[in-house]
Amino acid sequence: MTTARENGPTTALLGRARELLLRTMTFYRDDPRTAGWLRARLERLSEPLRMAVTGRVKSGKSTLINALVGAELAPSDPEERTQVNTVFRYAPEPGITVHTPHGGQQRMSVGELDAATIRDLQRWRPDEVARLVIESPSPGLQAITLIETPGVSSTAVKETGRSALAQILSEADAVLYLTRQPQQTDVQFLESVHELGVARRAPINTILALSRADEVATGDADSVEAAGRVANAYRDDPKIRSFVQYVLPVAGLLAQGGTTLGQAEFEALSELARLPRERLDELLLSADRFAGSRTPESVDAGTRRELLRRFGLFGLHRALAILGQGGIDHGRLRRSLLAESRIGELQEAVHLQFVERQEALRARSVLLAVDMALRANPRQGSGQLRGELDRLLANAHEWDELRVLSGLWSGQLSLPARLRAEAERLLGAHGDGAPARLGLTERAPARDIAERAGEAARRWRVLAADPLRDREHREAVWTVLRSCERLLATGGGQQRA
Amino acid sequence: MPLLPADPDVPIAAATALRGGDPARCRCPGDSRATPAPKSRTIRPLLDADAEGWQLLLPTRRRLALSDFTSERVHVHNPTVIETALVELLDSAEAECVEAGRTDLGNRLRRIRNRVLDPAQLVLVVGEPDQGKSELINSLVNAPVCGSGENVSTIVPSLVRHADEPSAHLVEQETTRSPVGGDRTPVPIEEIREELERALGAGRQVRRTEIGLPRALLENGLALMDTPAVGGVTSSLGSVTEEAAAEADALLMVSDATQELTTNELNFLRRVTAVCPNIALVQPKTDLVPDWRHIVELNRKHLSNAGIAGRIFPVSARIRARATREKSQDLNTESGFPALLDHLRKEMAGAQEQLTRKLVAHNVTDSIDRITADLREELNNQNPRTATETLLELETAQRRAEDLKRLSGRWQKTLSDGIQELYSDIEYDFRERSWAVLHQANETLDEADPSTTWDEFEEWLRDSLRTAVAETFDWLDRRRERLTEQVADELLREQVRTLPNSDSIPVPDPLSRVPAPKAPKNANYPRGDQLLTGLRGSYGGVLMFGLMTSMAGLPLMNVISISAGLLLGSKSLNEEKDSRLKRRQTEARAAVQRYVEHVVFQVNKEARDAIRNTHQTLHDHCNRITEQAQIRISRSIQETKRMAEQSAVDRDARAKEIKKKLEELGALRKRANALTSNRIAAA
Repeated sequence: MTTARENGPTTALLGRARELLLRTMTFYRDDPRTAGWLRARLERLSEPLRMAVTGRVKSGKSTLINALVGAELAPSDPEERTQVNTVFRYAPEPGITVHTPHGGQQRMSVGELDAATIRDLQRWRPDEVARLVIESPSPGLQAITLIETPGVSSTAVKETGRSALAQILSEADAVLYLTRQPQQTDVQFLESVHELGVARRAPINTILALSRADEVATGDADSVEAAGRVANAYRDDPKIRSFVQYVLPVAGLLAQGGTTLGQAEFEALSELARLPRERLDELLLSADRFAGSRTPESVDAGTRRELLRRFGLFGLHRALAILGQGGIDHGRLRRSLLAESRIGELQEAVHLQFVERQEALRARSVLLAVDMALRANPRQGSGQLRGELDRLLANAHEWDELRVLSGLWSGQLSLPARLRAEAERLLGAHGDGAPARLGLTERAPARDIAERAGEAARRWRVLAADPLRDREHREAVWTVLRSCERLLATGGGQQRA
Repeated sequence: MPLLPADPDVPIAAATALRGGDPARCRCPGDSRATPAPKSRTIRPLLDADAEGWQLLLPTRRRLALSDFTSERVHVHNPTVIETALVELLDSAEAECVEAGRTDLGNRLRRIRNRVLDPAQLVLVVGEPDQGKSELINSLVNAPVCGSGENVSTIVPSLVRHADEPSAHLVEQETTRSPVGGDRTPVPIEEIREELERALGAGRQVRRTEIGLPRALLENGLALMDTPAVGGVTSSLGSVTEEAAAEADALLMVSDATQELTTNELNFLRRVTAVCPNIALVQPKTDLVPDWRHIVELNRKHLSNAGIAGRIFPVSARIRARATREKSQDLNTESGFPALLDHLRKEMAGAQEQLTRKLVAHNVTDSIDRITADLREELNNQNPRTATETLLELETAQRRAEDLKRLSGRWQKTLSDGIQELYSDIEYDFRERSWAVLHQANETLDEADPSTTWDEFEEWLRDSLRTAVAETFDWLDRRRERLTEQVADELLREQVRTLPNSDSIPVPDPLSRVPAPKAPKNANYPRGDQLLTGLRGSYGGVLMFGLMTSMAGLPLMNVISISAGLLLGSKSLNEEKDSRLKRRQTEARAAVQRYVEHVVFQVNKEARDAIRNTHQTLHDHCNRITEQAQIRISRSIQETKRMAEQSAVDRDARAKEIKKKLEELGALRKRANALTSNRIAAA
C-alpha cells in the first residue's frame, strides 16, 4: 500500500487547480475582499493540511484531538461547552492567538499550554472570540493542522456557533467526523457539507469515526470489537457510503490515556492491579464504586478520580486486565492500551486517506474556493472561469481513482484478490507512471506499454459488462477501465516526455 | 383516592407487598399471584434466577397479600364508574372536535378512548439508537426478551406483558388501531428474533412481537413496549414510534448517562409530551461514568427549561445483573432499578386509574383548548372587522358619487364651451375663405368681360368655393376630434376613456343646392342696334360739321361733315359698347356676390348641423358613461347596506352560537379538570 506521493496521480490536477485559482485572483483583483480571501487559500497550499475534527455533541472531539496530538491540550468536560473554533497547529514555540469576530488578533506567548486556560477561552461566546489558534511544538501536528469545532446538535451551541461551524468546515481540507453511532442528524450534517458541486464531485475528504467505542453496547471487554462490527455495517450503508469511505471505531479516552500515560499513573495502576481478583471486580463494577472505595490505601481518592477521568471505567478495566497478566512495564502497557483503543487504525486511515493524498485534497479545496468565489461574486466574464472550473471537475479522473482506491482499502468495495491487486496497480497505487501502473519496468518500450494497456482495457471492459455486480462495483470497474483507456491514449507519449 | 404511599423511597419489599391490593388489578383477568416456574425452556436459567432473586428480595410478599383483599373489595366497583365517566367525557369531547372540523383531534381522542377501555397499561420505552432501550426492558423483567447489543436494532416494536407461561407471538396486520389485537402467531420464545427475521424476510406484515412473561411487575396489567429508535439513520422507524406514543399510557425516555440530552432528544420529548404527558427519563449506564450525577442535574434543568415534567431515573443494568447474580439487595439498590420499578408499579401500574385520568384530562383539555382558541379567534375577529369594513365601503362609494358629480359638471362645461367656440370659429373661418374667393372674383371681373368668359369664370368660382368648403369642413372635423378627446380626457378620471364612435363629418356639397349665378344680360349687341347707335352718334357730327362747312359754302353733306359724322358715330358706338360692358360687369359682380352669400349661408347651415350633431353625440356618450357609473355606485351602496344589515343578523346569530359553544366547552373542560383533581362526580 505504498503510494507514490511526490509524483502522485494528482500533482497535475493540483497544478491546474492552482493555475485556475491564480486566474480567478487576477480576475477579482479590483475586489480586495474576494482577492484577499483567495490569496489566503493560495498561501494555505504551503502550510500543513487542515483537518477539522467535528461531530456530535460529546462525541469525544477534544479527547481524540489529544490522542492524535499526543498531549492533553484540548480540555474535555462533562458539559458541552465548546463554542469556539480552535485551531491546533505546529509551531516551534507554544502560543495562543485569539481572533475576534471583527478581524482583530491578539497573540499571547505562553510558557506552557495547559488545558484550563484553553478551556476558559473556549467558553467565550462566538461573538466575543471568533477563533482560537493554539500553537504547539507537538510532533503530531507537524504533518496536519487540527481544527476543533463546536458539536453538531448541541443544546448549548447557539445559531451563531452553527454558522461558524459551517464556515470552518468550508476551510478545512479534510473532515474527521465523530459520532457515537450514526444518526439522522449526522447524515444530514454530512449532506450539508457536501452541498456544493465540487464537494459532491469529490467525496474523498471525510472519515467517520465511531468514537467512544468503549461505551457502545454495554462497555464490556470486547466493546471496541463490537464497535468495529457496527462500523463495518455502517460503512456499507448506502446513505453513508456516498460521503464516506472509512468508518472506524476508536476508543478516544483509552487512546488519550495511552499516549499521555505518566509514570505516577502507571505506578498507581500497578498498585491497583495487585488487588485480588474479586476485590478488583467489585471495584470496577461502577465508576462510583471505584471512586469511592478505600482499598488499597496507597492510592488516594484524588488519584482515583483523576485516573477515572483520564481513562474511563473501560480504560481502567483494560489497563488492570493487562497489568494482571504480570511482567508489564510502562511502555508495554502504553502500547497495549493504544492497540486496544484502535487509534492506530484511525491514524493509519488519516495518513492514507488524507496526508498521503494531500495533493488531491488541496486540489479539492482550491477548486471549492474558486467555486465559492465565483458563486458569491458573479459578474461579467466570470462565465469563462466557471467553464474552466467545470472542465477541470469533469476531467478530474484522479478523484475517482482515489475514491475507488479508498473503497478498496477500507473494505467498502470487495473484488477477488487477483483483480483487486490489478485494480490497485492500474489506479496508480504503486506509482503514477504508465509502466508502474501496468506492472512493467521503467524502461519498457512504448509498444509493450500499448499492448499491455490494451489487454487490461479488454479485460476490464468484459468485467464492466458483468450484470451480477451492484452499482458501486460497476462504477469502480468503469473507473479502472477509464484509467486503462487513459493509459492507452497517452501512455506511450507520456513515457517519452 | 391514592391508596399507595406516594413516597418513592418506601422500601421495595413493603411497597410491592402493598401492591397486592391495587384497584387496577381487578381488571386483569386470570390474575395469577404465584410466579410459575417455567418448564423445559432454554430461557429457564435466567427466569429461574429472576424468580429466585425476587423471592429473595421480597420475602414478605405472600404473607401480606392476603390481608390486602379487604382493601381491594372496597374499591372494586369504583374503576368501572370512573371508566364510564371517562369514556363519556371523551365521547362528548370527540363530538365537539368533529363538530369544530378538527377531525385530527377527534381521532386522537378516539385512540385515547381505546386506551381507556384497554385494561393493559402500555408503557412505551423510547429513545435514540443504542441508548439501551431493549436492555432496559430486559433488565426490568430480568430476561433477555428484547434483542440488544451491537448491530441489533429494533425494527418492530415488541410488547412485553404478563402471561402465566413464557410465550411469544408475532402479531400481523392489525385490524383495529388498538395496540392489542391482530392476527397472532405463536412462536417459541427463545427463537423470537429468528422467527421475526424469517417472517419479515417472507414479506409478512409483522406489526409487533408480543412476549408474555410471568412477572410480578407485569401482573397488574403493565405492558412494556420496546420501540424502534428515534432519529436513526433510517428515519422511517422513528415515525412508527411517534405514532405509537399517541396510544401509550406512559413513556420511558431512555438517554444514557454518559451525556446530557441533545437538541434532537429534547425536541422529540416536546413533541411526544404533547400527546402523552406521563413521562419519565431513564438514564442507563451510570456505571460507566463518574459524573453521571452532574449529567442528571443538567438534564433536570433541560427538562424544566423545556417545560416537561418528568422524573429522572439513573440506572445501571450492569450492577443490576450483578445484583441478581449475587442476590445482593445493596447492589440492587445501587443499580437504581428499585426506584424505577417502584415508579412503574406505583405511578404506572398501581395508579392506572390516576394515569388514565391524567391522560384523558390532558388530551381532552388540550383538544378543548384548541377548539376554544379557534372559536375565540373567530369571535374576536368578527365584530370590529365587519362594521369598519361596511363603513369604509360606504364612504368609498359616497366619495365616488361625489367625484362623479364633479366630473360630469366638468365635462359638460368642456363640451359646451368647445361647441360654442366651434360655432363661431367655423362661421368666421368660412366667411373668411369666401371673402377671399369673392375678392379674387371681383378682381377678375374688373378685367374680363363676363359675357365672353362667364362659363370659364363660373367653373373657377365653383371650384374655389368647393375647395373652401372642403377645407373648412376638414378643419371642423379636426376640431371635433380634438374636442372629443378633451371631453374624453375629462372622463378619464372615471377610469373609462372611451371615445364615442362618431363618424367624421362628411363634406357637404352646398353648391348643388344654390342656384347658379346668372350670367349678365346684354351679352350680345345686335348689329342693328350698333348701326342705330352709330347713326345717332354720326348724325350730330354730320349736322354740326355740315353747318359749319355750309358757311364756307360747302354743301351740308361734304367730306368733312361726313368724316366727322363717321368719327363721332364710331365714338358713340364705342362709348355705348363700353358702358354696356361696365353694366355687364356690375351685374356679374352682383350675381357673384349673391351667389357667394347664398353659399355661405348654406355652408353655415351645414356646419351648424354638423356641430349640433357632434354635440349631441358627445353629450349622449358622456352621459351614458356617467349614468352607468352612477348606477354602479348606487348599486354598490345598496349592496353594502344590505350586506351590513344581513351580516349584522348573521353575526349576532353566530356570536350567540359561539358563546353558547364556549360555555359548553368550558363546562366540559371543567369536568376534565375535575378528573385530575380527583373530584369526579360518581356518574
